[in-house]
Amino acid sequence: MKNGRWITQTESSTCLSEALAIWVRDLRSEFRTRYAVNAILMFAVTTLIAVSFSIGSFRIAETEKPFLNGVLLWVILVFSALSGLSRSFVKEEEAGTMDVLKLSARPQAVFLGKLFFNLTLLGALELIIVPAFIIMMGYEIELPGCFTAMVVSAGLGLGAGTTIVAAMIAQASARGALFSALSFPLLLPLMIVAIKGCERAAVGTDAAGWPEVRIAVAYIVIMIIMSLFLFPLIWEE
Amino acid sequence: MIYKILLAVWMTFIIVASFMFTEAASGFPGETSRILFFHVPQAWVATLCFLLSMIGSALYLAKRRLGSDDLAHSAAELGFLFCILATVTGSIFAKATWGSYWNWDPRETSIVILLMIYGAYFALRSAVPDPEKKRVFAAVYSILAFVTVPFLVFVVPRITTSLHPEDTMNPAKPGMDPRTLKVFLGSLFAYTTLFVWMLRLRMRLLYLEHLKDPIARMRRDGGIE
Amino acid sequence: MKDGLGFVMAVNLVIWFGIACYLFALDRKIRKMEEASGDPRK
Repeated sequence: MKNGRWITQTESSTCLSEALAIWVRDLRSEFRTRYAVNAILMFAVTTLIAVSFSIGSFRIAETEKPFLNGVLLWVILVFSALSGLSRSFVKEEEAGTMDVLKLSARPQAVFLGKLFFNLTLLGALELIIVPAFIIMMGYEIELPGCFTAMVVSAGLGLGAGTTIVAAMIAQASARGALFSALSFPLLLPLMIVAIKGCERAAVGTDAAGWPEVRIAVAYIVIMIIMSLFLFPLIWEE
Repeated sequence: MIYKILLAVWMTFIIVASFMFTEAASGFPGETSRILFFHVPQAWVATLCFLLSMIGSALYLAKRRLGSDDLAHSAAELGFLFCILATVTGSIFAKATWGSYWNWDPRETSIVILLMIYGAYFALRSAVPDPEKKRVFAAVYSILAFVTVPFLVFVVPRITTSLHPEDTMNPAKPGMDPRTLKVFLGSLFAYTTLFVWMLRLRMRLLYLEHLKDPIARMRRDGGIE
Repeated sequence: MKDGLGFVMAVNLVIWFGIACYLFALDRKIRKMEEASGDPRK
């Protein structure tokens, strides 16, 4: 209660303020338990070490490096993301707070709040893994600005594509495997574009206009709009 | 009923015609181009199914009529089937023409992704116990999946280079002589009609199954919506 | 080579014949079920 009234939508809070409140709350609880962050980072670090150890930067021919490094980087990032991003909704289901969440904010706000949370997780993941990867795999990048833009935009795309799926599987049974199975077809175009974009940034030839970054941004916009549209339908069931 | 018999006869004719009445296309080794009479219509039906499934899903979310969900579900099942057929025939063609069964060029990739989307759709349907939620979730996923497809079909081929001078799906048509073109279009028509028949059968079956459920009967008769 | 072609065509025809028979049988079965269900719409 607040000021003697229940906090509901009638208390003229904006969608954005509700979303931010959800985001902050998730950040706080994540900071306390560090469950999702640990899962994602553990997966990413283990995979990175395995890759670096078995392939390393000397085993790949110089000509193949831009492409293979891009592939390996995105395999690590995508699969780490798939291992942890469903936490944002599954933890609500497990803690029994789903219904309270449904009552306390409008659906779009819930979606946006969870989206921000997932994007934060992804941002942390990329911030740690991408530099580590570059160092451990000897990844030479000609156009660092383009590369950064690619990594950031594809990371945003990862979040945009998976948040609504996480909401669906949290209310289903076989959660972990189902999340990966459902998300992967949706993420595959993004992944292909990200790999190609990183390769282009690493090689440095005809990257004018950063075409792949633009495609990734288009993907983000479309997925977020569609999710905002469709989320209320699965949320208010 | 008569149409179905006509379809059976027509398809027989098409099969015979594709081997007997047409010349094998010159750009391909031996007789391998004949498989395109079957492979391309199958792929076409698979994408048509995808479109129909999305439409059924959108209709279901809009009006919540069980028939729309039946359409989405049946189209997904048939789409899965035709997708497998297209993948197999395409793989055979790839082996005969370019020497390896699978190469991950854009067309092959999109058909595999379509297969994965259908698989994910069925996994989702079976993982949600509550029937209404199951239909809504499946519909939402179908629409989301449909939205990502333009990226695959239009955007990705533009930025990746195909290993082969392939892309049989588009240029094969202009390069056809008149007789081949006729048989090809005839095959397209046959497969589409065959698909419509199979779809109707499946939807009739689903409808009969709904009749067993009293709540579904009430919905049909206009009791509850 | 041409002989092999005839063989492939024959296999195709047999497969199609099997599918068509199956579909017709299915159609008949569904029609029987529909009549039996006492559906007022039909």
